[in-house]
Amino acid sequence: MADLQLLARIYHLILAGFVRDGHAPHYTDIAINLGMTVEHARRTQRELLTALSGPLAGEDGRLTALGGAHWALPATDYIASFSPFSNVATQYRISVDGEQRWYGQCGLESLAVSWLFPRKDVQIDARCLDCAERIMVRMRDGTLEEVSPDTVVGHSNVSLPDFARNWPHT
Amino acid sequence: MRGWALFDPSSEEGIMPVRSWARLFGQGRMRARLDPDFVLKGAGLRPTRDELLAEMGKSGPYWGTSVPQ
Repeated sequence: MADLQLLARIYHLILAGFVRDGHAPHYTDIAINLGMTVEHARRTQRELLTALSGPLAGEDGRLTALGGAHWALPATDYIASFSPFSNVATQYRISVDGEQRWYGQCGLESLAVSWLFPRKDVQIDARCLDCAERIMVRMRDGTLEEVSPDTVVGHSNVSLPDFARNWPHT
Repeated sequence: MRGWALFDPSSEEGIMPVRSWARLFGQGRMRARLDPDFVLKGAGLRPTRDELLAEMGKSGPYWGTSVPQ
């Protein structure tokens, strides 16, 4: 079992990579960055995802209090999603200061992205899953600056306690 | 919203203004994720989701909190 300091460093590398590049680093990048073997990095990244949000996270218990959803594509160590970002294209396109490089994990987690880009304009563009109307939300430092149309609501089809039953579905 | 093909009527409570959801997803932990020591201190960051839900008057099975007596 990896120690918490190492898990914290890998968590930070992954999230900082998303912020910088718009996508997650590969575990080989993590290995180089932290001076680990590739296999050690792969196993520790897998352990991190499991401890954060995996099916055994509740039993592990070390990191579940952090919240969020973090998972790899099935049967791989490719990061698929890491709150609040998605590593695969979703309907939630996120632009920072006018540059679209990021995808939100879901509509609700997209609302948390602006905290990661202090003093910058963060715009979320999506379409309504019901009527396909364009939706735009612009935020700065967590504050809503503009919402269009102004009748936009958020919704979770899954109750909060059930979020962790199936993260990709949620 | 309610016409969405996959809409679950039992999730009606989960329809909220974007501003309310932004508040919920702007709780202490969400703001500090990029701090290098987030994982080490994260569990102690406040306010928590449960505290915010209570402030917002949200309780019950959908929200995962008990209904105040």
